[in-house]
Amino acid sequence: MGANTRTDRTLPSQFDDRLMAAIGLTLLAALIPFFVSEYVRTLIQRCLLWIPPIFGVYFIYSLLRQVHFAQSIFIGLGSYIVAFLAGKYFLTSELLILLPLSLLASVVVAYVLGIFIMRRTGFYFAIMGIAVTMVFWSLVYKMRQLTGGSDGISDIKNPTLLGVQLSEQGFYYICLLISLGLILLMHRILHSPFSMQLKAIRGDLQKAESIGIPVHQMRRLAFVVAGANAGLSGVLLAFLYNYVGPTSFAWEFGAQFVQAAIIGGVNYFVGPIVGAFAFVGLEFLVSTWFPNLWEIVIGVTVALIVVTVGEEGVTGIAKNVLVRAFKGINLKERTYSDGK
Amino acid sequence: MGNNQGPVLLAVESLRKFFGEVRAANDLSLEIAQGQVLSLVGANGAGKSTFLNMLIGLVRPDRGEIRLEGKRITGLPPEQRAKMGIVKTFQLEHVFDDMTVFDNVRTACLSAAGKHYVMFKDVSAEREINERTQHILELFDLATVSQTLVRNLGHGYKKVIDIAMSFAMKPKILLVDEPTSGVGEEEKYRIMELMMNQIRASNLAAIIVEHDLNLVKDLSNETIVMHEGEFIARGAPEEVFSQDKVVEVLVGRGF
Repeated sequence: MGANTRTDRTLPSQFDDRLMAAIGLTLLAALIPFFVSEYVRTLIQRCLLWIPPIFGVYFIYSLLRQVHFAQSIFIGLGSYIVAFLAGKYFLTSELLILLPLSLLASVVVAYVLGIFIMRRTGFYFAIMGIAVTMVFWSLVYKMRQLTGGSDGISDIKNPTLLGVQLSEQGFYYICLLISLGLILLMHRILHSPFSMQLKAIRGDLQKAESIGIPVHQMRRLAFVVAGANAGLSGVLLAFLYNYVGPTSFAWEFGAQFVQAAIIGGVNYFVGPIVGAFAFVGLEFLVSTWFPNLWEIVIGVTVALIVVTVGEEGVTGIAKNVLVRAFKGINLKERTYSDGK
Repeated sequence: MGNNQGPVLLAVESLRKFFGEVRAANDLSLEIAQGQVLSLVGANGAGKSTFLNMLIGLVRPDRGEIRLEGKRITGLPPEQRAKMGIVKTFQLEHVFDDMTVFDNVRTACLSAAGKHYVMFKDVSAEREINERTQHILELFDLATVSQTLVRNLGHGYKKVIDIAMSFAMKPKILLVDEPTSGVGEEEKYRIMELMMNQIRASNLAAIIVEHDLNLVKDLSNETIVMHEGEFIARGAPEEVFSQDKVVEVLVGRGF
């Protein structure tokens, strides 16, 4: 019954624990480039850039209980904007132009797609997400002259910020900053009046309508919020690998964000962050040691998590271990998604 | 007693809805003034719920017109009608189960204030909304359970929460579909009293669907009897309930 966000957050001891943990991890992430190889740094950068699209999946699931497979559309959009403007038809590699441009494109495309996709719920929403993603993928795949088809587009120039070319480390910090910024923003949004009404829509659509909530418009906007996160990540992912291929539009790629969200645990605000690191980390380890078993390992992991801890994910497991180890620590971040 | 307690608030003209062979609403017409409380009775399947659902926009009529304060609202979606002041509470439980009582009512208050797209402000920072929520909870005797998850509460509570949310919308006319169905005898009167006090205090117009004819006599001085999609009688409850055709419809069918 004390499950009240407001009072939880004013309890200084709990809040301080979380704040300290967040500051500690951020510092760690900020110092990492000095101590690890370029390869590992790129890997961590990839984790950081996976966090926003996974947050999109988490957002849609925790508030509307819908599974969002279509995040790769927006990754693809952001990536191909970079591929064209900072690669094939070089115009600029300025982040302050490319990021807002991708944001705008994602918002527009998500809004238009949302009109169709968000009309459906549950199973049909998931399937429509996959179907629409496949349309995008095959368009990009087939328009060979424009997109390079399956070869994709490489030779993307290095990113600049205010006209200054960024070093590899400088770019790492940009990724860290944007990822952190989006995490904080999502935290804000998840505790906003907007999210509370989304949760009401999920709870009872008819009642929500009858108390004046514009349900279709709001669901569409939720889809836009999720897509915008992925659109921004897409820009940075393209610069990270200096290459963009049609796989960035593949629905399997979108499904990976869903898998990562499940692994992280959809009951926790930190779930997407844990999920990103767990998924990318697992992929790295398995593909290094048993290159052919990657799909099997990830499939079994997701299945095991779903069967054993369900929505708790790795975060839930870690929390239980921590609670047993240090009694009294409460890492659980309450969001409007938990109704237990 | 009279029909005209003020200017006409809601006007319904020849509203029709057929579901195949079933005539759920057969050219229904009605006017209701501000502060006027009507009760609507009739056997199951008489078309009462369909009528109310057409008024709030959940069911689209085949033909006919609905006007609220002179403005045509027939084609508007439910959320817009709710904003304009026509709000319904439901016969079955329609509440947000995995939210607290406070958050249920707060959601309605947010909606009433038009704060749908406020994304970058913490909901706890909406002071006016929170104060209004608290005020409504107190009006409906819900303050003590304010932090309880709704799913842990009984049916009677959920009914009151539904009604409280409707009030949070600052309605001009409240449509109440069987506020006491499935509720124990004692709680029935408590819920009715809570609701009627607020309806009278805010001088709202209301249409109340109710099966308990004793309650009907208490709650309003005007009742409408519905049968097979038509209004067959209208007037003071005692008078209406003594008409032969009404007795036949209500009593003869085991009402």
